[in-house]
Amino acid sequence: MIDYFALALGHGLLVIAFLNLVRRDELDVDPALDPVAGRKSAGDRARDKRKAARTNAAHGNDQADDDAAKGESA
Amino acid sequence: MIDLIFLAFIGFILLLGLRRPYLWVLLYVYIDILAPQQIGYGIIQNFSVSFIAFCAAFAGWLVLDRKEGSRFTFRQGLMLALLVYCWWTTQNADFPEPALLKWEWVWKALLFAIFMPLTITTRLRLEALALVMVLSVAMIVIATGMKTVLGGGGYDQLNFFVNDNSGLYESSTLATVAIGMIPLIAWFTRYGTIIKPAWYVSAFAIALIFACLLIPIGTEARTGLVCIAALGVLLLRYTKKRLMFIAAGGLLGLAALPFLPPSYYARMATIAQPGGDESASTRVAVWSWTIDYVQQNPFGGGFDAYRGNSFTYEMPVREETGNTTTVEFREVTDEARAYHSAIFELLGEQGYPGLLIWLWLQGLGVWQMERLYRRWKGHADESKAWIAPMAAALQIASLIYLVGAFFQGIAYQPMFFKIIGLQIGLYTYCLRLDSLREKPRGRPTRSRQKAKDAGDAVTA
Repeated sequence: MIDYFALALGHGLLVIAFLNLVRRDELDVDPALDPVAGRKSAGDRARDKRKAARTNAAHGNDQADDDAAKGESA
Repeated sequence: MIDLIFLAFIGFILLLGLRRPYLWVLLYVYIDILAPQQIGYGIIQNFSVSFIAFCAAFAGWLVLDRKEGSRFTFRQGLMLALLVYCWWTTQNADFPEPALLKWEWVWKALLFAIFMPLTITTRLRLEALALVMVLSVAMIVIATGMKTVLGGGGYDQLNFFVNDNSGLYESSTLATVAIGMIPLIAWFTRYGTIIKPAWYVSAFAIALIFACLLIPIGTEARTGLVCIAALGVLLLRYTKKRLMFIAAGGLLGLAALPFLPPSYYARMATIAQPGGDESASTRVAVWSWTIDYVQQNPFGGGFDAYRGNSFTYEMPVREETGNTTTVEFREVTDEARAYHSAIFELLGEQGYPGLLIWLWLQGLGVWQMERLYRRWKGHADESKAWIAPMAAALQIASLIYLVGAFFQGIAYQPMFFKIIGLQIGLYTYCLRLDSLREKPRGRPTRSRQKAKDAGDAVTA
């Protein structure tokens, strides 16, 4: 019984830790060592660009064009 | 049933690793420490989970992982040298068959120890590795501590998950590891980011540290008591109110005395009287035999060279008849007694070169952690404040191991190679942090230069 309790507790905490780790980009890219990584990743920037483009198409808003262009140059 | 739970857990981590391959390295560490394949007794034994995890960890790093910041360090070179040297002595061993048996696990432990630091490239990876090590050991410690409290202790009597004296499932080894881990457990209560500091984290850590302190009591491992004393002395350096710390330690020790079983007193008494116990008295005889042996064989006799020893000595044997106790000195002949010390284990098996490499490897770790502690202590910035305490925790872990290793043949204990892996990872990480600071700022990019020029024009 004690063995099962210790194993269940330890594995439960390990699962929490692993689930936390799988969601964190810092596991692979350290923000303190790679200042660029502190900003958005290439994938995130591409996703933002697509989102901005969709917003443009929906609203035909010129302002959004400027934002997307700014986001690209950043 | 338990086999299926272990397999489900391992399968789950293998799946998660497809997104973050480093998790496979952590999976191997967990399997290597806890040995779930030995705890289960059914279907899990049909799978080489350890081999699968090692292949996944290595292939994941090679194929999928970013290798930015991976460096082959001098200490990894020392471990490689030790591995090659051990291979050579195994070829020329005094006892080829037992030597091959030991070589089979030693090379795996050393190979993983050489590989692991290559994967530790970020702060979170360092923390994750330390956390998996702590939690894997914690399972064994919690179970053992609870059994001790509930009265199931005794030398060689406490049941672990696995009862074959392998890996951490050997009482003195577990006691040394548990005591050595205490500062690292405390580190998580202030600097953890995976499981963030909170009252329940501190409560768990205090309970776990208490369980760690119970290991030498529950297993009645004398080395554990020596390690607790060493830990107390080492912690004095990091304590502001030293007199208070000494007084509190003394009081805690005194308060614990009435709860200790008589068998514990009897066993601990043999520390001061090594002649009264066969295990202790043979140590001195084996050590002097090893010194003589290495004079004849300066390059060592290969793994398990101790099998060639034999010596006769007189040992006091107590006999109680009614109210009278008689002590009689009897001649005892011992053969093939193990080294009972990592120093003499290396000296006998790998000779002077092996001992030199091993001491260099350990000493360099202590020195590097000292440098890191002095370099990074006092940083208030959250992104740097964790470094000095981790360096101190890893230095203490190494020193406690060295104290414990003086009385046990644990020169190749994989757990301590993992501590070395953490030390190398931390040291390399800090070198990269330093080089980033020292690096002169790169030439401004065209767009930045344009913006600067525009700014200058405006201000002009």
